[in-house]
Amino acid sequence: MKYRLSFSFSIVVITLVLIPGLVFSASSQLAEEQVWRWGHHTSDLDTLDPAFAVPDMTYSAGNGVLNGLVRLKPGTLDFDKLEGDLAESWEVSKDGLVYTFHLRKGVQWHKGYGEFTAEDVKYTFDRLKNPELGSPYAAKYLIIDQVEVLDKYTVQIILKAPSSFFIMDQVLAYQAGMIVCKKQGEEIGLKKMGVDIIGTGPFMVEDYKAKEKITFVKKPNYFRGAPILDRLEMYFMPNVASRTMAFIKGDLDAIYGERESYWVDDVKKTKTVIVDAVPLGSGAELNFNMTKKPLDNIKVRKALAMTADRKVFREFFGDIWAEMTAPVPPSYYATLPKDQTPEELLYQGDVQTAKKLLAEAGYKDGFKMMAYTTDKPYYKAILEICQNLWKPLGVELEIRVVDHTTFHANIRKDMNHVVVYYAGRAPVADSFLTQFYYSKSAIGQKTQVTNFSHYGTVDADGDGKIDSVDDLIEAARGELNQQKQKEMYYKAQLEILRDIPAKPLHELTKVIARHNWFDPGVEIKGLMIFGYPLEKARILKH
Amino acid sequence: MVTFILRRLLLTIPTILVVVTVVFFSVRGLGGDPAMAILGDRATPEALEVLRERLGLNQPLWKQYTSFLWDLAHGNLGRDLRTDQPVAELFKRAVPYTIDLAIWATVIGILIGVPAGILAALKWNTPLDFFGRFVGILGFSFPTFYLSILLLFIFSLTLGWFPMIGGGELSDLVDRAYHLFLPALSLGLIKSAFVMRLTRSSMLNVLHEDYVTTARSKGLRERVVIYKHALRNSLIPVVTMISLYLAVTIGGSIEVEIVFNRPGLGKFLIGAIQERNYPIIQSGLVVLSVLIVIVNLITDLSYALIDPRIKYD
Amino acid sequence: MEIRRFLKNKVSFFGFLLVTLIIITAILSPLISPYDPLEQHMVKRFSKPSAEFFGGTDRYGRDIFSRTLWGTRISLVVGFSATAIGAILGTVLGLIAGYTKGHLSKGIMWLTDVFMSFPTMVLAIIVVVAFGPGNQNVVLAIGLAFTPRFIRLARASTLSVSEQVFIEASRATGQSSVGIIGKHVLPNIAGDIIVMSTLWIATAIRLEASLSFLGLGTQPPTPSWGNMIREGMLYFMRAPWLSLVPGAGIFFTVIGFNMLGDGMRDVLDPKLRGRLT
Repeated sequence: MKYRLSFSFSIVVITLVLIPGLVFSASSQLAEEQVWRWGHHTSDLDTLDPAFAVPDMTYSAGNGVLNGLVRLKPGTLDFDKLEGDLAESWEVSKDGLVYTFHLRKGVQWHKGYGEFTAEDVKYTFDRLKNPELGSPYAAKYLIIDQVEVLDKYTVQIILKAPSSFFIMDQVLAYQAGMIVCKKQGEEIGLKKMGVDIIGTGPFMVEDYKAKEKITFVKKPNYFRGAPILDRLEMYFMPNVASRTMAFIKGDLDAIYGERESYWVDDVKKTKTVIVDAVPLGSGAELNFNMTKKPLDNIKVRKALAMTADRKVFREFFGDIWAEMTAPVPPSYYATLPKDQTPEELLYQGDVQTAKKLLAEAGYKDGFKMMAYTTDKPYYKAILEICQNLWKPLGVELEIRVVDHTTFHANIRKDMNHVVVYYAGRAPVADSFLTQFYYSKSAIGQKTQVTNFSHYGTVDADGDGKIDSVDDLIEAARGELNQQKQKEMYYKAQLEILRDIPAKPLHELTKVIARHNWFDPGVEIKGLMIFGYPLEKARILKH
Repeated sequence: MVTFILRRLLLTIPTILVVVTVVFFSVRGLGGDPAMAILGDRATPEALEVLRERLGLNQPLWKQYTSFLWDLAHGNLGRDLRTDQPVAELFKRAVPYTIDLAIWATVIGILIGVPAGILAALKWNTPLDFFGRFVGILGFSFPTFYLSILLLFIFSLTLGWFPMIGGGELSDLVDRAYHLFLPALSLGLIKSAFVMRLTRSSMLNVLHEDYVTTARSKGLRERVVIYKHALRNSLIPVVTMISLYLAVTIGGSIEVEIVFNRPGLGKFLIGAIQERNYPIIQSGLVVLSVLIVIVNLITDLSYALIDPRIKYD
Repeated sequence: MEIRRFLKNKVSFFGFLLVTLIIITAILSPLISPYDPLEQHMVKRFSKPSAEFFGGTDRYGRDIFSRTLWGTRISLVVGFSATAIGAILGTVLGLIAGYTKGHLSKGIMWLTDVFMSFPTMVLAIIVVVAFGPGNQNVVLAIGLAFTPRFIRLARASTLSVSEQVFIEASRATGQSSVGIIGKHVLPNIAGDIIVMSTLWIATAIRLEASLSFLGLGTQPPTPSWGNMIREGMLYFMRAPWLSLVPGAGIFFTVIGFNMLGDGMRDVLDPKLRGRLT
């Protein structure tokens, strides 16, 4: 089952940003010291356990340590050309329920933990599903009925219902799809593993210092051949200003960048700096909490949506910005194309029309709203800009900046009128629609995820009936005919746009940067993680 | 002397107990949820519940409190909720860096502040006085993080004299000092403003005390009067204040540690407050208050050096 | 008499002038600001300082100069009220602890010791996190963090004043404690408290900035010098004016209050009076 993804957005960005990166030739000489230094934006790393790899730091740092069954070609997001990672090949039964994986032979776990076998695969997926573990990904893996070990190198995964996205979303070497070592897991018991995780990847965890750094050394017998880099050093540097300075000075070879066009311009002034602003991006939506007055009124939501002008955000985010007109980000599979979206569902309007709508809804003089946000600049900016854009309507938006924990707790207690949320998920319509527009994902439900608007549980358009696209989402997921599936997704998205529980705003690329003496060994066209592929990477003389 | 120290140390136990109690209950009133901080923004309510159960966060508060006290009494600082590492291990590495920073910031503060203060007092109301005070205020006019970033920009990025990452290796004293200089300077400059003002005002006070006037009238040379009589006496409040400002200095170290990417207790504390990592907040503040109690004790003892009239028995 | 002496002193006069100027700026900021501090000029983001925008513009195209002028209000309000909370609470408790003997005094000092062992910043962070962000809570947080320091000072000053002969005499004549405190002790320790307050006003302004640095200070879009500097740090290399202009605001305010404090101290200090007049 293969899909073509529409990556027009990515191609534009690549052309803009990547060309300078291809300049240097293979004949460049290697530096004597093959140590790679990376500055990350978080203040710590609490685990490398893929079952808990939710923060980007976690799954990004673990990427050189662990492998999955199937992976994207490093540096690409080409889902047509998935390659075997720990699996050499795989096949799917006709009914789409049985996946058989043929595993690579002779792969060794780090630090003498023995050979990788089918038992490890079974352990990994069974562990994820186990409610005792409490993995935030558990729900996603409940689709697995059972995992069967056929022999040492063959494993079968049987699903409860067919899913077109099983390989892409659940098996791919990304986040929870990484295979962990059964022997280590049983030593630790059924709980979150630490940073000293055992993997099969090109780098092994060497040392970890809380709030400071984590270091890795190369695994000489890595199954794709020994990496060129001897050591990786990842520093935890939450302050942008000092992280950027350390990078520009050259103390760091590469860093996690800031999602700001101006930051990108600034670091590029240093001649050796290459910025990789590439997909997979994060989609931003302005979620209206429909359980709160006056946002239960569709006219009010329309007024707010049409004045939250995408052009202003384009001005603000510059090159890393891509327009998002559908509930699913533009670089994802089965997103509703802009040219198939009726003009009025793009919600591009002026203040006068919006004022009229508000007056019709009985809010001629506007009203007050409140929103908690985190301090991340690209979150806060949306609210600050909206605050300004809505002022002419008489709509007063109070912004409360709180720390990350409080923010996530508060938005899940329905405290906000509007929730700004950026999400990067498996790049298929299913992931976004399920997490943001599915009734069971609504806040307040036992299975709540991130449906902040409560779409699917309330009457959105005021006709007395609950509006929902649950049926469409479920049907599309199990639909194996690609054309039919796409149509269902388009229908669902049009339905959502008509009810406007949230305004889709934009997708921002990932932003990471490096000096030209750090050669990742592959062309960087797209990344699932915030970090570089490292198995062929090297440091050149400089 | 020994009994004095022992008595003082014994007296601190109830103080620390109150600190612990206040901290224990106030951090639990912070709102937010440690389980959410650990599992992240995609955790389901069920998963959160399982984790809360395992971390013992569902137990009644009094039970959590007594078990915390019990552990503390046995020297057990608990485990990091997120990484499950023993908090004592984390602090063993972080605390020396914080002590380094606090001590050297204080030393720099004294080295700049005391002479500037004396000079300003002696040349009271002259241009030199104004100049000294202006310089003293300079370091004090910037928020700590801003001064740190300015110093980092000038001395590390532009001039390239100092490193930008980390605190150096603990075992390598030279490396440690090299990494320490700029951070200590940022905090020290701020501290020097406090010290300068205090020295100046204390010195001015003393210069007009009877015994100084007497000493002058006895025909003692001005320098002798200043150093033997005035300076000694004027330093007592300065020493007191320096120890009192220790908590301020450590507070400022949070920003310095973040900007200079140094390990340290301040960084652990702010991180822990944001994550609601109860064991680290609790134990961190216990460690801090013990440190501060020790410094206060040293301060009290140092009076004896400055002022021979003070005796301990 | 004292006012004349105060104004004659060059330091205090200059400090007085500066602080007055700052207060006037705070009051008149709506009138003298060239732009609405919240108005976003998206096409003119990151403009350099020019005739159009004296202080340049920030990432939303807001006028830095106008924001800095408006920020004077927030910073002064935070500085004054936080210090006032600390000074009033601290003086009352310190007077009690210094004047009375016995359990109450001991209890107060003991609690003071407890709170002194919390770093100011940590105490402030805990209060803000517990009560939520917003200016009132920032003021409360800083005020509470200051209180133990004022208790210490007030107590120490009270102790030294209490030992003086005239207090003993008043006691002997049978005056009430409250009367003695009000008539004799308070005026004598007021100098110390005021001098310390001026210094802590500056500290409060800096602390607000530090809380903003950690994302816990004044909430957007309201400009405070602290959150302006914090935002400016992001673009330090591109647009240094973003943090330099509000930085200058803090700088002059701190200098002003320091000079004012010094001047007042010199005037109020009875021992220096002889030399001044």
